Amino acid sequence: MYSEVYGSTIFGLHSYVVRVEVDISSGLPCFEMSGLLTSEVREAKERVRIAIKNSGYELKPQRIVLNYSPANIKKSGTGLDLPSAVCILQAFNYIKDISLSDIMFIGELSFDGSIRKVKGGLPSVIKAKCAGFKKVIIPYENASECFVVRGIEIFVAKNLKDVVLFLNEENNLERAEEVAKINEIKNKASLDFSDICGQSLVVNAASVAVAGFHNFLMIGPPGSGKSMIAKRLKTIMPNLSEEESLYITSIYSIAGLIGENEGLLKERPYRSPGQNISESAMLGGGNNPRPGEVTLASKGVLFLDELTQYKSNVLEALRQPLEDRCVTVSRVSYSMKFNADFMLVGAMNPCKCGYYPDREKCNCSDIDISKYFGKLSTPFLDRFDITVRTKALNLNDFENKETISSNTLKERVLVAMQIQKERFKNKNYLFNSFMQASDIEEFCKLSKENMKLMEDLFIKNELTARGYHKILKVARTIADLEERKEISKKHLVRALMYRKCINV
Amino acid sequence: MYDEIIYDIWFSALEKISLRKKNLLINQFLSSKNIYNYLFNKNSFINSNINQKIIEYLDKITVSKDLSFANLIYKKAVKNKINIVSYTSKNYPSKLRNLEDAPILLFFRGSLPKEEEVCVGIVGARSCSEYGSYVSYNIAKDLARYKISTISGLAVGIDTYAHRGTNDMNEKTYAVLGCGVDICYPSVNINLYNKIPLNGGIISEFFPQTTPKPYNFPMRNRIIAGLCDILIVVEAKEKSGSLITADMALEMGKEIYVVPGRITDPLSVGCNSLINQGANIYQGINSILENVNISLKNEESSTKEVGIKGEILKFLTESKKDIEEIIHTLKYSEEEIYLTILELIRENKVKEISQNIYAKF
Repeated sequence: MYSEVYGSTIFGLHSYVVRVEVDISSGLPCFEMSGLLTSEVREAKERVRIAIKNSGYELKPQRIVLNYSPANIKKSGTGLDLPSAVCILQAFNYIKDISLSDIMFIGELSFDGSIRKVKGGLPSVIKAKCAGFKKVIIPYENASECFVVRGIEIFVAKNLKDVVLFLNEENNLERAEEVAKINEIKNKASLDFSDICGQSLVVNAASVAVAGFHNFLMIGPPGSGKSMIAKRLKTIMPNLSEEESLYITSIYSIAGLIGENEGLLKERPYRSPGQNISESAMLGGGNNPRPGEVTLASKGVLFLDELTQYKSNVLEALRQPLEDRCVTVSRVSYSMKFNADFMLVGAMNPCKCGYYPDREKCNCSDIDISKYFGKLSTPFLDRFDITVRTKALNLNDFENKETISSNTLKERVLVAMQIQKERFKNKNYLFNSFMQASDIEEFCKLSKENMKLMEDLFIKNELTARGYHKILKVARTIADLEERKEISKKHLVRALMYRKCINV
Repeated sequence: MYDEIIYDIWFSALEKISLRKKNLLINQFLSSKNIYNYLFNKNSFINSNINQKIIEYLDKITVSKDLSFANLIYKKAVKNKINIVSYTSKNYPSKLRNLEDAPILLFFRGSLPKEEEVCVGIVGARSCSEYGSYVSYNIAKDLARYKISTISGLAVGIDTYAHRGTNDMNEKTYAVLGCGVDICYPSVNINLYNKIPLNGGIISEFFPQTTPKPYNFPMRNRIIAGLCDILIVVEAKEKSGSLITADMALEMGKEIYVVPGRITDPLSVGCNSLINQGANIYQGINSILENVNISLKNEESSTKEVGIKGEILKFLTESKKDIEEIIHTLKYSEEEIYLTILELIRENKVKEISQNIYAKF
């Protein structure tokens, strides 16, 4: 007896359709599986058998062989339990002998026959729709992330028996839209930029960074607000567009980071990995390709606090993703390209003790300082488009309540975003920082006077070609924030001020 | 058989006799060779009416007769181009003879200050402020314009800027070390260490290869105090080595000038307290020149900066400032200020010492 059923597996960031076939024949009773499986899938042997038994279906001892094709893709994850069980049950005639080739089955099985949540639900459903399946059956707990996909009927099932009855047309399964419960994500902590006293230079710089998606570095003494500001960047970042949201939610689904009853992610990601992070955790990889921090931070912020404490190989490894907006992970068995278009935000002290150049507190000599900065190579520091200094607060700043709220900043950012969206409508990116040389030519025209200023700086060896382009991009964002079409001298000079200091 | 200098080295190296006693001995015996002869070669000893007590003292002590060590030192010094001058030599700086514990030997590279040469000692804190470094550098430069040499200790901070100021004007500066002349301490000043002997000199009373131990430095400070005509203290914390140098100089009758500072600045506490005790206030090169009786030549009129440049420079004279403060305080637009700062940096008048923080160079 033979039967075939469809399921899916995740490899890297992509979902693949898997055809599960079973052959039942006489011979010594056994249960074999083939098709390049990881041990997670192999363990399905016990889960499937016992789930079937406990759902009330008896399997006569026969030779059961399962095959998962295509046999050259490594199959991992537990979502293949359900299709395997359905396949076997159909071969044993517990399910009607009809073609199940337009349904995809996804789910992990427990011993009692109940169907459990899987990782990568959303991308699997998206793939099912793209591959032409009409229906897909998913675990109940994956409903909230998957129900948004249109063009395919999404059913949820709580246990194996319900699925069998549904396929025999003896009962109905609920639809995902009906059961999806999205918990309103409570605003966890009411973080706001108005918590920051003074520091208008840094706050403005932060809004420029967010508006144009520029990489942003803060240098300052301990306790001057670097981490505070970084945490509040989320509050002024615009929400994800629907397309971006599907993309990001897929990635998070694969990484298993979608919470209970959490639907499509609306807020931009914010990742702040610890200083001990390894290179593969940062970039992704491993035996089974998994997304790293840089991919999880796509379209959002990757915040590295205490930059000098990170391992230098990890920081150097960031150069490719910063340059190409993607990361290629190569291993013996595969080579995979992950997206990594994140905004890098860094924070560090100006010297080992943290207080340079305040001579009352800092005794570091010039050598100590260059040693401290030496941990970060110049090309790496070059990747930051905007570098600003945070100041230690004194009593005046606390009393002088010159603060600005996140809402105000967000409004300005949204305006700038709208302008950029319009500008790049024919391109496949949304922000000024992604501009290529040809775009800079087109969109960042300077007046004669300003051209002369830039040439001047260029000739006096204070600018490289990359530096020149960076400044123009930042100046363009500053002009956008003020809703100006032309880049004025003021904008240009502001952008110049955001250059990193060459002496350290 | 041996040169005088070998006996001087032998005498200087004797450990059981204190420096003061050595001074007394050499003043009485008139040469180290004579002392050696008295002890080991009575036939060649020249009696010049020596005090009885001293004779008794010498009769009691036992010292080594061996001259080979001294010979070795001498040969090594010659090989490494280190000059040696002894207390009895006519080339020995006479100002140092005023000390009760004057060094018997001076090792040096380059040259020693001449008799008629006017020398000003400049000392101060190692962790000096930008203001201190600016002042130290410029005092040395101003002095150099009047061909006045400087003396300091090659230490990090004020000393370094003083040496640099004189050196940059190609005038003579002398560095007195707390270690052997062949050791560059601190090692970061290797450039200065190499350049100074071209005009002035590196001086030390310690034998070559002597490492910089903490107790060497007060000894070295007395040499600075002794060699200078005037001592300037630029910045000093409440308990500072520079204050000790000032005390020594005062005892030797030298004039002390002090650069005053802000009362909230810990680096000025020492200086301000010296003023309280009667030291002179340094307010510019004229204060010194009057004291040294040098006629005021036409000063190089330093081009006073006007307009926005001048205002920025003036604002930065007090202390380093970050860009926000500058923009906030001065009444010019952001662009004007920043572009002017860029220009001033190009002209080497301003430096960006840390991200967005500027100081006068």
